[in-house]
Amino acid sequence: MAAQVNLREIANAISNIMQEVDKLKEMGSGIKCVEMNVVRMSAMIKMLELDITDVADVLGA
Amino acid sequence: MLQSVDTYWNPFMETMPLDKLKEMQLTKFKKIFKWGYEHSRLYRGMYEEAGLRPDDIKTWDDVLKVPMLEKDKYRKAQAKQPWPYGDALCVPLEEVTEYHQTSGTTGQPIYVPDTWQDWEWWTESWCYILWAQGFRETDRVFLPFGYNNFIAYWAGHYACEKISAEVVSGALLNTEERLLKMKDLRVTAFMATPTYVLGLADGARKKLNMDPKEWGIKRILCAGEPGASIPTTKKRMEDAWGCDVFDHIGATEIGAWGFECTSKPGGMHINEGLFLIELLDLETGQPVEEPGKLGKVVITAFDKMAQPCIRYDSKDVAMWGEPCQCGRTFRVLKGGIQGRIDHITKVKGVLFSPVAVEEVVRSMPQLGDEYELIVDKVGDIDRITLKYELAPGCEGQEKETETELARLLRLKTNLNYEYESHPYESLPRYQVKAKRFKDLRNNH
Repeated sequence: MAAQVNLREIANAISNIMQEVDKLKEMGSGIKCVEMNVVRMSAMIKMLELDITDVADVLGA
Repeated sequence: MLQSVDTYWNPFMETMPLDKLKEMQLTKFKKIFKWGYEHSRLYRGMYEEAGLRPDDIKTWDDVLKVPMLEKDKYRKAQAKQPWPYGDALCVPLEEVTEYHQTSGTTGQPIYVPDTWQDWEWWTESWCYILWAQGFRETDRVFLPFGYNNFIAYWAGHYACEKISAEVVSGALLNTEERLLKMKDLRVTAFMATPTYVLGLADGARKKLNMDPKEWGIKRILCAGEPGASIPTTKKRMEDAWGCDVFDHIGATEIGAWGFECTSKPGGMHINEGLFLIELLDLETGQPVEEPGKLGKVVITAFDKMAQPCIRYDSKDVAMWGEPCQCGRTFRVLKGGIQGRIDHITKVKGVLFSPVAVEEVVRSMPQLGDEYELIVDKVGDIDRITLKYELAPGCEGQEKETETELARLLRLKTNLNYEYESHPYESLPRYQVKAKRFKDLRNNH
């Protein structure tokens, strides 16, 4: 089950996406449709960090 | 026993070994403590007064030194600028996207701001609850609540959307219209307080002349009152609707921190990945770790950022239970919340919790769903009176009912009661936060 999934790999993917979103935020600075959609994207990715990354960190995965 | 992976919303978090879970909790506690210290004048003031800085929090013993937050401190902090959150606020006001407030049952309501990330967190914590209770993409979920300022099922609504269930709002409909909508749309689940769950079933039978058991409802999520964790009340609801009833606990200023799962362990799991729940001995204030011993519930939400909730004294009383068969390592509070500190009181010198009375009343089929409990004094002597209603068809059974009540209540609470029989449907009915217990003594 869950053990077959590579937790660290998922955590790394989450981290990469967050970096891309941060880049998008910077590139779209001042453009409301970018800024405000980035707020929502960041919030969702943050939930993945709480769900996955925090667990991966403590499990040493 | 570990179940299949789709049993859990987050199999990694929900089945983590307890020692790892504790390790993660301590890390997360340090982070939220630092956040509060650095961003909130309320928390910084409290912690500076206690001589604590973020670097001082290293061990679980250090956590116990962190001052507890009470509602009154929120109230005082919120009397300052920026309105209406004052010193409790940790983010720029323009980042706040959600407003809710507590009901104000115990005084001035607490105003609760959430950023979009906080709201996403509310929704996420509800996803754990819904998934654990068997809600799935195929469900059509009815929400018969007012969608007003109180948190109620707001996050439940968003979480249903997130798990891809279909949500039907019953906000502005009256009870009869809600019932008709539930039946017509063939909803598979709904959420309500235990009082309203029973009230809806009663309404279906009386106003529509229908048996709601025939409507195909599969599950009901309860919140707002402890009824779904009281076995006799749960049974009444399950019998009335012919489906499973699950409990959940949360609060506007805290988050959605506990839930019953489909294994029904006789209590509620704590979401220990997102919350720290401490049970503290009612007299010594020391941590209670052993099952079966009552403790005061103190709660920290690890990831609530706009207005953090750090070591919040909930005034609830609970006890640890045994591990659940569902495979979750999240611990269980046996029987859910056992009562409120301000409701657990001495009557005639005996420690008394009104929850025990509900368990007895709801176990007797000749009694209606509603009752009221009044404590007052006759001279210097405490008196406790139970007002009850006989169920339809049981009229004239006052004498044998009171004999049975006296026997069961004596066993359960070690107290003798006065009894008042009231005509069916004459005692107050509630949709939220039923107030059935009234202590009229001035100095107790």
